[in-house]
Amino acid sequence: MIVLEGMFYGFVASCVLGAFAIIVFRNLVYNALGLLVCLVSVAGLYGLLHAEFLAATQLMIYAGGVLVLILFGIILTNRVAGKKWEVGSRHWVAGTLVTLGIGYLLIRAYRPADFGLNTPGPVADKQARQVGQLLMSDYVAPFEVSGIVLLVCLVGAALAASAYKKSI
Amino acid sequence: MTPDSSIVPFVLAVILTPLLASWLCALIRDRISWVAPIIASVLQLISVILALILFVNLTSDAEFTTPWLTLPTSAIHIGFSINRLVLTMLVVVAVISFLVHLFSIGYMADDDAVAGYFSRLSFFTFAMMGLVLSNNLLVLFCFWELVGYSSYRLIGHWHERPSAAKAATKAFMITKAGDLGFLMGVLLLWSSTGSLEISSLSLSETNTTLMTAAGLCIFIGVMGKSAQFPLFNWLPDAMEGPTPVSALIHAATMVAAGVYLLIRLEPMFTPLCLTVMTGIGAITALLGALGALVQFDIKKILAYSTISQLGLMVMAMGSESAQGGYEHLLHHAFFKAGLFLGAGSILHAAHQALHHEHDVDVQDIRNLGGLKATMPITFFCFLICAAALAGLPFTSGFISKEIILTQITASSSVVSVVAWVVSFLTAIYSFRLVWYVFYKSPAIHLPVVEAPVIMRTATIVLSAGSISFLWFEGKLSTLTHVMLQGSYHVPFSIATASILVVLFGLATGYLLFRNKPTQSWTWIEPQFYLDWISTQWVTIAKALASVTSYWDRAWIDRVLHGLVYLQVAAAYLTQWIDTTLVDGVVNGSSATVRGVGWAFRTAVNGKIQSYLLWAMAALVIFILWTLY
Amino acid sequence: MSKPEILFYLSVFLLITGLLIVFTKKNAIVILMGIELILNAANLNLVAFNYNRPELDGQLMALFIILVAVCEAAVGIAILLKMYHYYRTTIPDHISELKEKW
Repeated sequence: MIVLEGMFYGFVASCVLGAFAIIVFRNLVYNALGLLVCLVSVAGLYGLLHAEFLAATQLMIYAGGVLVLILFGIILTNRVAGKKWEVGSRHWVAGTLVTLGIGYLLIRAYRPADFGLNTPGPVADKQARQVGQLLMSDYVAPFEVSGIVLLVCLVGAALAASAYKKSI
Repeated sequence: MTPDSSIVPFVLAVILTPLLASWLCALIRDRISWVAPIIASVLQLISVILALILFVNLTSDAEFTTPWLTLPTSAIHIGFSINRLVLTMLVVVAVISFLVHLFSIGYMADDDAVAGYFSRLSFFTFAMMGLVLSNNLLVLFCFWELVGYSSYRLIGHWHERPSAAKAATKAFMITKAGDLGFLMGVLLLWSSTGSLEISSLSLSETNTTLMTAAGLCIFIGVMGKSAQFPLFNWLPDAMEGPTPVSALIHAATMVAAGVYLLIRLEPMFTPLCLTVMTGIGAITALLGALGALVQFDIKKILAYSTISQLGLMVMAMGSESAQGGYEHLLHHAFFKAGLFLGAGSILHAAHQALHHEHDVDVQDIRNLGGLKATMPITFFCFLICAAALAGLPFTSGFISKEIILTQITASSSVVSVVAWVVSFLTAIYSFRLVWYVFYKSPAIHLPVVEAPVIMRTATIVLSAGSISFLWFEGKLSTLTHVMLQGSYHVPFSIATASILVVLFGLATGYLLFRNKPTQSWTWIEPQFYLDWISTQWVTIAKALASVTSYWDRAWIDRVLHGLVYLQVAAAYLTQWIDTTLVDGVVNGSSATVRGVGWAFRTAVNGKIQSYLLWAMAALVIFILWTLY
Repeated sequence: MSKPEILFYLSVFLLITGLLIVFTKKNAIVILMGIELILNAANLNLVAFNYNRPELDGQLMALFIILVAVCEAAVGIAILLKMYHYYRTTIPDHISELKEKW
């Protein structure tokens, strides 16, 4: 149990560190690596929260798909010869203030809440099978719609990213 | 029967007819200048007739006034008084003026500026009549000044002669000095009694010191106008004017205006004033007589004689013999004018005779002589008038002199001695004049003829007025005495003494001047050094003027310039305030607005992230606001 | 402090970090990373509240969110590539045609 606790806190810490890495570093690739660390630690957290299916999904799609997409984006938008890459931030004072305000508001909104999750409840097992069954029974509408969404996105993104000269 | 207001147009006609003549004569051009004497004389005759009608119809005293100036505390009225005293003087002035007009027709026949001369002569008559009639001291003062101005113009008639111009200015300036005193006296009177009406003057409840001061100041004015000591040195020089002018102005009327004023203002003089008047009058009489004794210019002799007689009149006024003084004024007007016109006839004839010799001074009595045979009528009139001057019986001068001597001898002793001495000297110099001009043999050849008829007529009428031939109240009287309806009582002793003094004087004169025609006493000649004193006054006045002008330029102008600089500096300051502060405020407010606008505009910079940031900030602030 | 509570705070932290990245970073790719962070924060929140419950609602919602996030990331990259192709830059600050010229 102590190992699990230690892993839990470790994953929390690495998530925080990853988020910091995106903000602090000025290198694009470092930012992407920071995002990777963050996503992986979130997946680890999912695992520790008895959401194994989701953890696997997170790793495959996010860390393996979205991140690769971002890396491709970094690669393809190479620097133009002679022009320096501009990375960095500005307006960080105002931004910090605003975001801290939002954070404060959120925390304050949920503060008195009693999450009521301290009592250990039954843990679900055979998660994949359960997820599949739920998808087909209770969540079939979102399932179908998400299929359409995926299709539309696929076609749209492919079309938008293609190099047609006629349409901008 | 009290005269009603229907008399007013009459009186106005009497005054304004000479004014009309003056205006008409001023308009006449040189080509038709022979019209001027006729117009002037005819209009003056009309005035004389109207004055006589007025006098004859006089029944009781009256005053007619009309408001002129209304002030918050008092009012000034113009008007005239009608009483026996005023109307007598009016008639005398009118008559003598008319006779002088007649005389001038002949005397000034060859002159260049005849029209202007008659215009000014008529204007003088108008001013003198106004002075006589007015009953308000301020209006009287106005006419007083007008008379002085007329005298100035007439003395300087031959203004191309420098001596005439100087004499005219001298007369004007010296009488102006006296007028200053007159004005001060009028103002003192006004401030002490609150009224300027002559009829309301009295000594009853007023401040004695103020009244004395007012009286003395008015007497200063009289000193100037009536040639008393020490302001008489203009009168001998005023003989530079034409002889008819001298006759009218400087013998009969203008110089008598001062004495006339004293008579009119008689109720206001305190005993101190009267004493001063007597003293000054005595000195003047004495000095005038001495001066007449040593002069060789016929007109100057008459001028000094006038000074002496005026002094005698003022002495009479001072000794409370107003009636005597006034009667002597009127009688003197007639016989002095007669003497002057006679002298004018002589001079005119001499000029005609010597018209090709210009270096002979015909006015010098040493050059004249023996005219008794060649100008008999003139001689006769001159003799009568000179007799009246000396005060021989059966002349008007005798009567008025007796009245004066009676009163003076009764009132004081020192002054009476002077009066008797003066009458003695008067007799001497009258004799001297007549002897030199008519009896002795002339120094040069003078083929003169008798004066023209028109000039003779005037002289005759005037000499007639100098004789006492009327019988009134049991005594021998003159015409003017009858007009005044005065009464007199002369003790037999005084009358006898006076006759003896006169005869003694004539005898002395005969003895003195029978054989020594050229004697002169130089210490008396330069007008008793009064000219020198006047010149010193002028020098002092000029020095004072230069000092004050220096002060004005140096300090007052500096102050003024400083004020101007100050104003300019204030203008610059105002401009600086305007541009810097006022415009600064305006510009500053607009710059502030622009800055605020620019600050807000930077929020719209086209950058998506900042839009997003501001939107989230707005949301946060809104929720925070709502919560708290 | 139970696990869901910690995770709630973590998800709030991820959310504000993601917002900060979106507001401040200059490069468009990094902004996309921030968006992913935000979505992950929401997911983490949902799964955390699903702890010790027999129902799997939270997980399924998270699944769908992942799905949509993927689509959105793909379209985002496509737009980014198009943007890079046209404007020759990946920095949104340089594309300020919304701003009036003054």
